[in-house]
Amino acid sequence: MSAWLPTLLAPANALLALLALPLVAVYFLKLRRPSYLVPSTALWRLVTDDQRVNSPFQRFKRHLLLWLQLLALLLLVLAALMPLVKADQERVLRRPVFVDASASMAALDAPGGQSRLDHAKREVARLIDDLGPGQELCLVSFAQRARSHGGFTANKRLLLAALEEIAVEDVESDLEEAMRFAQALSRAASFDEVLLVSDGNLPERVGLDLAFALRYQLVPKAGANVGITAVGARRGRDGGWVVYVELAGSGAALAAGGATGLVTVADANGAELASEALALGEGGHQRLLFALNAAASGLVVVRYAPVGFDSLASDDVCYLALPPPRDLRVRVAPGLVAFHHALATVSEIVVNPTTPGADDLVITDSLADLDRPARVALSVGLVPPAAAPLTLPMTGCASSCRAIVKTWKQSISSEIVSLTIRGSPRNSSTSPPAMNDGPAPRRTIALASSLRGRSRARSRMARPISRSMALSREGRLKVT
Amino acid sequence: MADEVALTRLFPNAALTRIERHRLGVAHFTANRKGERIARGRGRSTDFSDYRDYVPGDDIRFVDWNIFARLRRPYLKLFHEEEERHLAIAIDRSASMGFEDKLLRATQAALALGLVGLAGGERVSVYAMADVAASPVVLPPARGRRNLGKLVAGLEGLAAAGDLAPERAIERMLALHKGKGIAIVVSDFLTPGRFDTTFSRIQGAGLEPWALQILGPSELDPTLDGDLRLVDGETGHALDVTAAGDLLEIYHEHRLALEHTVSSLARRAGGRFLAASAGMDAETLVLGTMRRAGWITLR
Repeated sequence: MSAWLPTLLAPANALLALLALPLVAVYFLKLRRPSYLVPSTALWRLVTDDQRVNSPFQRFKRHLLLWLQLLALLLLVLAALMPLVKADQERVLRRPVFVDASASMAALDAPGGQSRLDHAKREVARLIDDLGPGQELCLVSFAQRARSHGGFTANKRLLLAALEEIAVEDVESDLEEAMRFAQALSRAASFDEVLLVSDGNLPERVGLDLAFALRYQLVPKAGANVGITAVGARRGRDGGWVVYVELAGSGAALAAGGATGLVTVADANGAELASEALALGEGGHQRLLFALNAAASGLVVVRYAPVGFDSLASDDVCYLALPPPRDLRVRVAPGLVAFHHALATVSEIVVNPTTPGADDLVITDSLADLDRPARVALSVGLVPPAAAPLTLPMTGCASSCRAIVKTWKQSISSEIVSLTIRGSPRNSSTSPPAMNDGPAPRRTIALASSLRGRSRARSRMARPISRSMALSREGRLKVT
Repeated sequence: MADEVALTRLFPNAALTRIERHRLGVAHFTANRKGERIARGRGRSTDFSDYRDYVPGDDIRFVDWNIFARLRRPYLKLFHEEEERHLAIAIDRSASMGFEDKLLRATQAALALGLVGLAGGERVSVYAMADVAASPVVLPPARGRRNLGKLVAGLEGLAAAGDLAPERAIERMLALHKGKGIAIVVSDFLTPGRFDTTFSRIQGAGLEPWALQILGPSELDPTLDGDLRLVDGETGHALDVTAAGDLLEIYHEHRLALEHTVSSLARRAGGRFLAASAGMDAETLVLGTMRRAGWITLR
């Protein structure tokens, strides 16, 4: 109950109430009634003595102007006393404010308008202005990582300056990382509530137990947007590159009658290599293919130039590194003469190169060679330890079992190796062979490569494509 | 006719002529002296009034022997008594009557009633009270139309002054007046005093109290508004009134209550009451309002 009693921040201003004395004096000194000569005041005296005229309301009404002036003075004095009700203050003394600074927060609401981050900043600035005595805020911006812009403070000037520091990063947001940061903050300073200001591109569920309440404040929706959501490249049959680009548009863009623009592929110097007009239909996404010649190696820039307003510019450009063509480096163990002779006849293969560098393929019958740096290693006459789970059916085979590569398929995110296993039964009476020389069982093994930097977000309105993601061919085959 | 001299500025001669054709309404009380008015009581005039049973002690000269011969029972013949009636007119000429021709209407009403009385054979006397010092007698008891000039002269010389309350003015009149008949009080009755005993005293003096209240248009329908300081025209006392416009309804209630009080007291004392506006034309007041109220009737 006492929490609702107002606290006066400036009680000395109560002296202003003394102004009521001169106010009343001036009122009565200034009051001048016009005289009116009447034959007799007998009837009027009866009227003024009437009980109805002398009711409290009539007495009040008699000096209504004075009462209004006193009321105005009372309100002014109350305002000068600066009363404060500590309703919410005692419950929330400290409150961290997490501001989403991911790339999508740069989306504008209209041509030349404000970004989502601007809207978020305005909301937080209002929060700072309304900060009461004893209340502290801590500003934290988060994208891939969370960053504190000063600790808990009640200094509005510092908070507003820190708010200005927050800028958009061209990466996606990681709410889990932000909440871990909030947990770390809660260990240093206790608080009951965290305010999260974001545009809503957040995962539905975060696997964290939070010791505080999470209050979510959504910023206004942005305008129409079309962005590049995926890009990749693969070798063409003619030795060149086939670059594919996938674009998607937000609902606002399609609702406005579709989106048009031009998608261009240029080299690092800006020279256009290919281009194609884009018209996003009802599906909301489109996939384009560009065939580049072999000379188009190195860094290429894929750019979408919208016709008209596009709320987010950062998802209109992405970069792709195309490695230059070179001869395949193959290391063949000395004992595998047949492999050596066969591969040596191929002009684009260098067998057992002498120049330093990682090998593309190692063909060996020795476990020691499997430790050599190579993108692909082929073991002949032995099962590598890493492939042991895949060869479980062969536990009954003798050491002379063979794994023969039948097909080798590559994709942007995986490589598929089809093996034919042949071998003789192990020389043991207790362990019957799992396989024999009869019809060879075939297994198709899908081997996923590691793709560093790939987004974990399942869908985004405009997913920025980082360079590391584009270099997916850098993944290493883990299993031979 | 065009050169005819006006008898008074209060009424044109033609109006006086029309007024003269009227007589006062019947009054209960009479003076002892014989007059031209037939009293309600039985008397010794030659006009037959009624019969009644004979009781021992009655004068046998008034027994109707013709009736006795037919019915063999004595009946006494009764006759109207011719009597002389007093008409005392009291005019309130305090300062409050000086507003909006109230005193003028009062003197015009007094002249008309006095003329009717003089022409009707009444003994007319007029009193005008302003304060205790001045003599109130305007016309001492007089009879006959020949006293019209004195009445006109006395009334034309009246001016509003003083602050004598109506009830005190009536007391002074009663102290001076002798004789039964009618006492007509012409006043605005705007006084803080009470009239509870005033009309009873008039009745006790053998006079039938007739009250004529004359108020000005600004008193009947005031148009005041805002915060005012009302100054009493008689006493000079000031009264502050706030939001006068909002109090008009209460004012009218009190005005009507005063009118009702005076009327009730006058009727309770066997008299009459008549309220009139000073804004009303004098001939309309006399020949219209008073005639309709039965104060005067055609001969």
